[in-house]
Amino acid sequence: MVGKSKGARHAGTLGGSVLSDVRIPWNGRLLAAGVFLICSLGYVAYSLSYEIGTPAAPGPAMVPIALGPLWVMLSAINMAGEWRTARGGAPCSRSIVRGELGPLALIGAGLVYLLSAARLGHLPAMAIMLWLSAFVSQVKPRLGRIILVALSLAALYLIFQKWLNMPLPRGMLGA
Amino acid sequence: MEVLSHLGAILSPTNVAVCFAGVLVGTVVGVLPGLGPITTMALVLPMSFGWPPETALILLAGMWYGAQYGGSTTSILLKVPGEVTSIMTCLDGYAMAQKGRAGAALAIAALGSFIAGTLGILGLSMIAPALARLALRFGPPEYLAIGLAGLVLLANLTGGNPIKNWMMVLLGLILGTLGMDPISGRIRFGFGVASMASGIAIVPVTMGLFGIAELMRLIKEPILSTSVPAVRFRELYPNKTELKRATPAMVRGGIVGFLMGLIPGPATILSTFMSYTIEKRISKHPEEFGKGAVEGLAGPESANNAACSGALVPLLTLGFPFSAAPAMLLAGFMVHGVRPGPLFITQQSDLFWTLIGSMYLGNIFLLVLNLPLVGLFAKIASVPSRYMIPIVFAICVIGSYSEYHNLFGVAVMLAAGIFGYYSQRWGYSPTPLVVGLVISNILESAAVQTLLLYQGNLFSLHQRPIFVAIMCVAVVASMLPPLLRWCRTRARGLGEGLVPGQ
Repeated sequence: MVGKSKGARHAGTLGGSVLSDVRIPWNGRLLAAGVFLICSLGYVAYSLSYEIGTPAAPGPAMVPIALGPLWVMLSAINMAGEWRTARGGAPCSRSIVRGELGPLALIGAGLVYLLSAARLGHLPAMAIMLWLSAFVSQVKPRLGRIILVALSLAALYLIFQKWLNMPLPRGMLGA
Repeated sequence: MEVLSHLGAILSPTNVAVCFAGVLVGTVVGVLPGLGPITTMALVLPMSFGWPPETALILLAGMWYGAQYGGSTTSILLKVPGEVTSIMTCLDGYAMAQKGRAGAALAIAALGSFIAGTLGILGLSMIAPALARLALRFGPPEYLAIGLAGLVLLANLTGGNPIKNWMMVLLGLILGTLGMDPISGRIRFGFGVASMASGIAIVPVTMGLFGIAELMRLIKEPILSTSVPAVRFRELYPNKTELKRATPAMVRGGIVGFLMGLIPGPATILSTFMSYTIEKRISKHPEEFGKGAVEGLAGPESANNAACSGALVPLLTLGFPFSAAPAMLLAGFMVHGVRPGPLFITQQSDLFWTLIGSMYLGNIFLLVLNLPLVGLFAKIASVPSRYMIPIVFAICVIGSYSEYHNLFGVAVMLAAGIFGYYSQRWGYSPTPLVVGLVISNILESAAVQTLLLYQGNLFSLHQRPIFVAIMCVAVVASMLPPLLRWCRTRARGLGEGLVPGQ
């Protein structure tokens, strides 16, 4: 019943003899269900590398082996449900994907800190991250962004480094 | 009253100041749509590492129940719930404001919160010691049963798809198995990362799931500044009729909220719906509900505050948190080397009663703060969200770093943020995951101890009546929702079959 829609160009076509005529529009819910299923299978497979032990003397894999198959089962049921729903629904359009760029750019700002803090040190890395996150959240004008970054950086420095003595990354600049 | 013998500690300048700061921050957080008490508790937790346990816990608890007060302000004035627990307040609170009774509505909400909050704390201080004495008889099997029953109820009551809730519970439990095995000491799922030895910490996960995910949502759908109607102090007087109608609703809301708080799941949210339904059903004027009925405002506003105290009962007496905010409180306890449970009230009675006393004090602070400063709190809601995002994001990064003292915490937080943002959009609630993660180690220890105790023969557990009773509750709770759904579908099918001509 699916596959003749306008969005069929974006739909993924499944191979195989039985399902060759079924077109599934790949939406986020289906993708999430698939990721859950793959993760649950990976977890069970990895659990088997540890010793299970016996019921009277449980090993480190006893609890993971008890939880893992249950997670696989629920993930499979969930995947089946999402599959059924996706067959009747619309595929994920490019405009929806474009709308996700802003939120993901915030994570990008965090990644910049993650990758640069060890080399540059906390303060310069935090300044870059604050600037990027202010840019992503559309703090305008540019002067306002500079003031926000400078004030936030000063406040964070005073609270966490001076008052709470929190050990933060010290890069080659020593800050 | 045991609490009176700890007045010295409760009224120490540090504890009074921290209690005031906690409820003030909680109120502000409650007012601000987008920034919730759980994120704020996660933000503050790393800062509190060096503080005495009572100071940290008073602050964390204050933020939680303070947020329940604050949430009502924007609900009444703007029809924007600051917290999900204030959704029901929007209905009649906003309608009262539209009729020119905004001041009275705010005063009734604050009074209801105070009365129910105090009733809830009274219930907590009476029930918790008795339950703790009973819990002393519990062994590992009973703890295992309580934990499982709680998770079953949590998965069924969280709302949405129960399968997805169960998946999140299991994911939380599974994340808790990462790191050192509590029995053999072996590192599981370490993937060669040294920081994985200590497992996945609650703070970066909570910051990611609630904080970063919320910031990502705010970037996508920014909350723009709104003009807030001014409310003067002299307008904050409900008339006699309003007070007469509101007072019984406040008491009923308090009782309903406290009892709902004892049940695992999103008690603070469910209690407001339950209270609203009860008020509407017993009211002489049900037609006024949704159009400015005083009871429709007073009941739910009281219920959410009392539910906070109710939800603390299982945490303080059994060591089990069954919703996200108590899970953060448990993280606060653990960070400071305190383990809540049956022995907590007897062995750490100073801490317990100081915490209870501070809650009484916090309620008074909230009443005093909320009535005269309501205009100021309402103005806070008009601050555009874009200015908050970089600051909250930076605090989350620093807080996550401090958990592991390396950048692994930041990586965990960012991963949890992406996961939280998308999973919530696609119908997976983060609360069962957080609860599962927090109680994973407790449950695993209880399960392994039970196996060792009975030499792997679990059939012998039928000799423990409390275990059997709790497991029966768990089984019934897990079977009931699908059974009810099936009955409803069947009844609907039969009903349609009876329609003539069909």
